[in-house]
Amino acid sequence: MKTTDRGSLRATGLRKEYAAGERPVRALENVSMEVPAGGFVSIVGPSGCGKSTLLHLLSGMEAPDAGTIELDGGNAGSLRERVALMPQDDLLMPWRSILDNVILAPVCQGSDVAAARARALALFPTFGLEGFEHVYPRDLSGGMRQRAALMRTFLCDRSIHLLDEPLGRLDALTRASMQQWLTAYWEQRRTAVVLVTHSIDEALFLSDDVYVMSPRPGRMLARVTVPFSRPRRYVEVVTSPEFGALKRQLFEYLEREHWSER
Amino acid sequence: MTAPLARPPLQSRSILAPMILGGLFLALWEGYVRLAGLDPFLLPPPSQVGRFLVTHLDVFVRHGSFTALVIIAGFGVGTTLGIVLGLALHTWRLFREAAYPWMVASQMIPIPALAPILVLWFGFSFAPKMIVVALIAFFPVAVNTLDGLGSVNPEMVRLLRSFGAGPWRVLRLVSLPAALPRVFSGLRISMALSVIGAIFGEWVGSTRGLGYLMLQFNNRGQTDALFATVVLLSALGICLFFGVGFLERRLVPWAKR
Repeated sequence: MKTTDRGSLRATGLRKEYAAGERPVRALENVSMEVPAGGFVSIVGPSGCGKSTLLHLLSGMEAPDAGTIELDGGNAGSLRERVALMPQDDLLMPWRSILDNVILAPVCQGSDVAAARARALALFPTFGLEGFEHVYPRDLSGGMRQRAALMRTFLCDRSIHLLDEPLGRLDALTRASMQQWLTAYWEQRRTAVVLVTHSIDEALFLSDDVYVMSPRPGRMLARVTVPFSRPRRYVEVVTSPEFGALKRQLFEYLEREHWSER
Repeated sequence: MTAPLARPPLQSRSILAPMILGGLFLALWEGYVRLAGLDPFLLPPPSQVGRFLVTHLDVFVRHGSFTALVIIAGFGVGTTLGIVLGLALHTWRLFREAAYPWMVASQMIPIPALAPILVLWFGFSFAPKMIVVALIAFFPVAVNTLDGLGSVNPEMVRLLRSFGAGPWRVLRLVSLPAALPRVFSGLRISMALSVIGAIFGEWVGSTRGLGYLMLQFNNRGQTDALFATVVLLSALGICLFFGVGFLERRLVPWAKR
């Protein structure tokens, strides 16, 4: 497996507004966060709190109205070349085989296709997709499609990965096994990951740090450091009393905000 | 074994079922003409039509192959232009706004009015017939190509852009394959219309082709020969139509029908 260079991100005072009809909608307000090199950071928050907007800013696809994003402590000039974003939908192309789907990033960058294929083929067992290299996406289950989309993201050769609800469309059991798989995969690679999720359980199990966001305009309410040692085992972690206590803490942040809105 | 597996495979059933229905229709027709004692000039029995077709097969093959050539050439030229035009309309917005109404207007020209003019310009040659077919064939393909290219999931385009793809790669990797099923819908409609177009073209001024034969037989009151020509023309059209379907299955294998 190729070791990718280790990148870190620091966002300070981000603000973003969108024009929606007559008046602008403020999506993000004074958002600051930190993604250390080799860290796994999650963002939880209610629907529409601007989590996806934040990822778009961090990926360099859109520019903030105010605030800065620093890459490796310097200026974020090369965000688009260092950061890979996995969107909410798997966006597998129905006309390309799984193998040809996962190598889309190198294909788009004009790299050697044969070399990209060879590298991707070696990863299929790791992603649990062995034997599905040459089928079309329609023949894959939901969990397999998500793994293929993850593989496509990790084959981007970027040092920071932004994952927007990658497991959101899966049923509970598949989701739990995907979380276990993702954690094991990440523990081997240790590239920086920012995960956006609705699920507090998912955030706690996977992350080193969890950021809690408020409803629109999105602000950072809290940053919670998760103490569980690695490698993590799903059943052990989610049934431990510390997990329950942290979960309660996160819920309280979200709930307090919810009631103060009324 | 469950019930669906016990059924005959789709391939043989999709051929067998229309065959049986067609045979039933012919038998009813034959029986009706014979029992009612109809004048074969008004409605010849299928057996008589078939006999004429077989005994004059050389004539039919000669004229039929000319018409087939007209259809294929006109269809090829028209649909190629249609795809190119669809791409151009999709790519340049100003061009789309300027040209789209005129493209629609081109379809309002009645072919029976246009065909004599084409004969005036190009004579009794191959060209005017091919042009008529091309003019009819290009439109459904152009419209469907344009719509197909426009129906691409914008999220997919965004994903490729984030991977560093330029407009050419986006077109090749997403827009074109996403549009293909629609393009083929257009191609199938065009193929059906091309057959009619070829006959129109041959009616106006020709010394060859199935359209020419139809006119001759009609003038001479040879109803059985006229029917035989129509049968052959239908057979030709069906073959070409399913040829497009065959091509579609080869080029759009990801779309399960």
